[in-house]
Amino acid sequence: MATRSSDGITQLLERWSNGEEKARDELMPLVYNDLHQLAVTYLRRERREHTLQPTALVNELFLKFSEQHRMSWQNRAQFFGVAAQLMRRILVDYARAHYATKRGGDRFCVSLRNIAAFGAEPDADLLALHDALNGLGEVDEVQARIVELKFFGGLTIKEIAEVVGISHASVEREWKMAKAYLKRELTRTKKPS
Amino acid sequence: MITHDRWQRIKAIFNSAQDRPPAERSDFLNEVCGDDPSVREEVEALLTADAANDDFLNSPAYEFAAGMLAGEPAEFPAGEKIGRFEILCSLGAGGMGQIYLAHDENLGRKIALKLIAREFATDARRVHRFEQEARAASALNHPNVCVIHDVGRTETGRHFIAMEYIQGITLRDQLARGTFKPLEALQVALQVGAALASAHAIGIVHRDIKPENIMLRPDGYIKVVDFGLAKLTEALPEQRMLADASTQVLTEPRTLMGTVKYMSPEQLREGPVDERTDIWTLGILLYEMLTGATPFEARSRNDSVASILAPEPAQLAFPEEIPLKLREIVKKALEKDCDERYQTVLKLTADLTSLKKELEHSTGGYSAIVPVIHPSPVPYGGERIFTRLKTQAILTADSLFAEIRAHKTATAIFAGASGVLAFLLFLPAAARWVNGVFDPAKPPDQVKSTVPSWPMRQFTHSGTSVSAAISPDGKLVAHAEEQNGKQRLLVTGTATPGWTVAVRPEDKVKYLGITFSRDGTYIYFTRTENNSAGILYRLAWPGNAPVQIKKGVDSPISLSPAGDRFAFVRFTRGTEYALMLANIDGSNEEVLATRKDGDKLSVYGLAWSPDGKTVVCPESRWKPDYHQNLIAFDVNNKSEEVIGGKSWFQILQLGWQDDMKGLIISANESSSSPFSLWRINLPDGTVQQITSDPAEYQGVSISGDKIVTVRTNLTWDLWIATPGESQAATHIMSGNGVYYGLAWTSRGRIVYSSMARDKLNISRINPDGTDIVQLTSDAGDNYTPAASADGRYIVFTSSRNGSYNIWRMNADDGSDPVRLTDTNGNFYPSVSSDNEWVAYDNQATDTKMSVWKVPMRGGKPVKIADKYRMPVISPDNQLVACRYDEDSDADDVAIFPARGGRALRYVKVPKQEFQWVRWFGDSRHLSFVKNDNGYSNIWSYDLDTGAEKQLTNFNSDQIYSYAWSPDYKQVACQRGTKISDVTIISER
Repeated sequence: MATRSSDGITQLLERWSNGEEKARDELMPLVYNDLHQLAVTYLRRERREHTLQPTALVNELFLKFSEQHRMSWQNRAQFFGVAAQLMRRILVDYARAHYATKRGGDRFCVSLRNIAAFGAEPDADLLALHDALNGLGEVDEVQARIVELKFFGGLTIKEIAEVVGISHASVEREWKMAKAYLKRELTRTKKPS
Repeated sequence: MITHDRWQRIKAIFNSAQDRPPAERSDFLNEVCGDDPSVREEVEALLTADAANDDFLNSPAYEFAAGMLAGEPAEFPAGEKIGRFEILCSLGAGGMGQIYLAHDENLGRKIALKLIAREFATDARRVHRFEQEARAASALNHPNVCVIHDVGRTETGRHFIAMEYIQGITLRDQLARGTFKPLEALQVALQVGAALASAHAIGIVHRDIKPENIMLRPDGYIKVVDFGLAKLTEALPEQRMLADASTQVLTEPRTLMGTVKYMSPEQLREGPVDERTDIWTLGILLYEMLTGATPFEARSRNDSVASILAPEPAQLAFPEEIPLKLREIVKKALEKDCDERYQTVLKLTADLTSLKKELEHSTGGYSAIVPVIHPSPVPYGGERIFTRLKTQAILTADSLFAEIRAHKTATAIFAGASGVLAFLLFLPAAARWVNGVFDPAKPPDQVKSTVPSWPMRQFTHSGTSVSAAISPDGKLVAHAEEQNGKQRLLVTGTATPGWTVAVRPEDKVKYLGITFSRDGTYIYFTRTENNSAGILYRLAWPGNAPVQIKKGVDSPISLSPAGDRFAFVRFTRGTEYALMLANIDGSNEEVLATRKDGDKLSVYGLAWSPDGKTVVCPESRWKPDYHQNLIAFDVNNKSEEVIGGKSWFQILQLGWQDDMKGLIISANESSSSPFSLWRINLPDGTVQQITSDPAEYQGVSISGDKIVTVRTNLTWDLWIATPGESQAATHIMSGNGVYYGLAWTSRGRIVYSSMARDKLNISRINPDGTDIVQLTSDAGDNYTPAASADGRYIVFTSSRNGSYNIWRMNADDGSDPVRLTDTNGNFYPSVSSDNEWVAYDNQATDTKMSVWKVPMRGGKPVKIADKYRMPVISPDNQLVACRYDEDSDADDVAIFPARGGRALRYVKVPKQEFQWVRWFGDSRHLSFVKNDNGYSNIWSYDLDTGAEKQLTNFNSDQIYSYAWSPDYKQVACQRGTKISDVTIISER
């Protein structure tokens, strides 16, 4: 059964997906709890299955909203786009708060280390990536969107092709270059401490 | 800011370049970017970044951010429970995550818990490799390796490593206090080297040796941590192949600033890395300890990388006082080309050891490296890390045992040392006395307790000690060492710094016992020369030649309180054992007691009581089962009395405490337990255990509150050798303690017996080191496995029914055990090639050995031969090759007809204790083990021509067991090393 607040979430999501930026700010605290719960579940499952399952959190979010909140999305693609953006916002905001507490807001160094590009300071790395992605968005909106869907949304290339409406091969190609660009940007922004 | 047009151009070129093979890209870029070098630069940078082919952004953000989202705290507070661990305090941040001091409920003790940061565990393949490696590393059982207790995941999915908690400081901390003297640096490097060698022996390369990973304990022990962890940060093999070596280094964000200076050239190139990388790093460490700087320091990371990769040799600048030889060693470790470097750590440590000896000699003694540490509180329980400064390597029994137990837990399958087996294998004189008859373990028949925490100090460091005695005033220790089959006698002062004189040079002799005269002027020693009976000498040292006192002294001697007489045991072959007394000059001998018909008196030690009234000597009896007791023989009326109610399996040496309130003995309770030190409290006879670790403590010599003993650690390795190809031997596994017996089944598996949970158990392993399956468990001791030719069965000796019988089980899984014999004392089974019957020997009923056979399906056993043992059936089923009874001196192997009857012929191959011969497939050749210069190899013997040929090419270690592959092209060898050092234990 939908509660009052989840009705609110549905409406806010719809308003935001229709371009109403203000809706996002109202949405964040409401979705955060669900996301938090999903993250905890995700971690538990990871342990249980003893393997890292690339199950997209947004997929679960989608299921959850469509089933529990009787959402009337035009299609999954639309939701994915919104959810990926939402995820990016949440993560970046969280990282910003986290980072500020830790460093007293004084940001001085981005360390990029091995695995998946993120090192001992995922918050700092995430913020750097966020900035670089904004930069990319200014010259190549499509690539930035692909990165958002892929990295923040956890979508597959095929799903991205559906959402963005370009061919599978094009997504691969754009993704490849975007990754190279971001990696280069992140390596370049590394400053001595 | 990049313009839209420019971006589109870069994008087009990048995409086109992507479509071309890498080799053609350069020409293509020249062509299309001719007018704008900055575009070219941009595209090249993108191509390089793309080529790294790593996991960048490949996992969705929420994977690494999940911990953050789930609200996991950055640090766990004290009292927090994570699964079975309770956090006590944070020990700081390590390279890959936070480290905590925690209490482990399962292990019931404090451990160091490393929680791997999530971002290091996002790639399943890497995590898998890391877990594999960490599990392998957890099998490492070496005093210089930080024990890994467990690797796993917490309930929230955090990877953790539970490891030994080491109280100490890092080498980095110590380096911050200044450089090391050459001897100090050698001590650290040797211990690090020992740790690395043990890891390399099982195929683990550390890859990340640096001062932060080396812990210095206040007792002088060095511990290397984080074996296996490098697997989390390392590129996967396929990534290495794809990466372009020249560009990789400078663009790859993988490497942390600061660790580059410890990386080898091959590591920086991301090429394949082997043990020589650890050798390189050990060279860097040595240099840093000696000079305070690393050799490739530069203004920037890239400059460091460049100078490491440059072909020119390292520019090394040593302080004046560093010996030339040490400089050369560092230089050789730091050869840029790994083929020019030391090829094994053992070669490097061999050079370091000989240099260390030289330096010690010139400085008149050794100095143990002791970290200069000021007491500092740790935040838990008010404990202080260092309560006192110590001037020498002192191990308290407490910490040592905790450590050893830790090792034991971590390596449950292989931990432990086997008592009598080790004893049989390593004490050369044992054979003529024990005859390899084992008794099943019995529960202790008297309440015993463990003496808490007697401080222990390793006194010698050669690893080759065989026996030792302390002078009555406690100032000197006389001890014998063995190298390459030769023994020498040394005297070392116990004061710090100690000094050492060799009082008898290396010779082909064996020291059975060493005793100081009551006033400390003379050293009496008993030794055998070329397997002679024992001869007693008196030595006024230093500088004097020893004087022969008496022949026919087959045991150590014990002096009367006045020092005018001595007691000893004489063994007359085939007849009896006699406990004798004689005047100090050897005259006026008298017999105090005798034993014969299988009952024996110990030739390993006896003790004249401080009141002069009795001599205590162990005796062994067969009934009801084989056991030993301590007997007090009255010197005046020759009466006998058993001391204490406890029976032992074997007692080696013993000594009285001055007040006569206790006897200290080195003994074991069963065939599979190690020799420990015990105190028998008198007059009530209660027993306290002084040592309880898997090491063997052989020997007791007492002065005041000090007990001198020889502590032995055993390690073994399983190798596969291919005769005919030089150096073609592959190491497949290793462990601690002795294991006993080896077979190679026709299904291609190697079957071996090793200690598992304090018992000998049989396991199988594939020749490539995979798929270890334990075949026996919870069923007494199980050993000397033999395989049936059809590969279906393993036939073996087991004590599961309370006596030693021959059993068979299914070779694949150990199922369906069937007992084939019901007499006690049946050993060394061998299966006929038609799988119909089993030959074995019978050693239980009396001292005469006999060889029997029994149908594989079970049935009545039939005797094949008397006086022989260790039967091996020829592949054509016609012949049985047996060893002579060990009581005889003969080197002979006798060959009998398999159907029974007289020996057909005798073959002279060297007598090697507890080694049975093996047949080759043609039934015309035998193989045997030959021991030369302290190490052994496998040889063949041609029955037609008598020609002998060396088949393996080992130049170290003993071969305890071996087995041929079914096609006789390869041989599996169990080879072992023992490390024995004189150790001083102080009574509390």
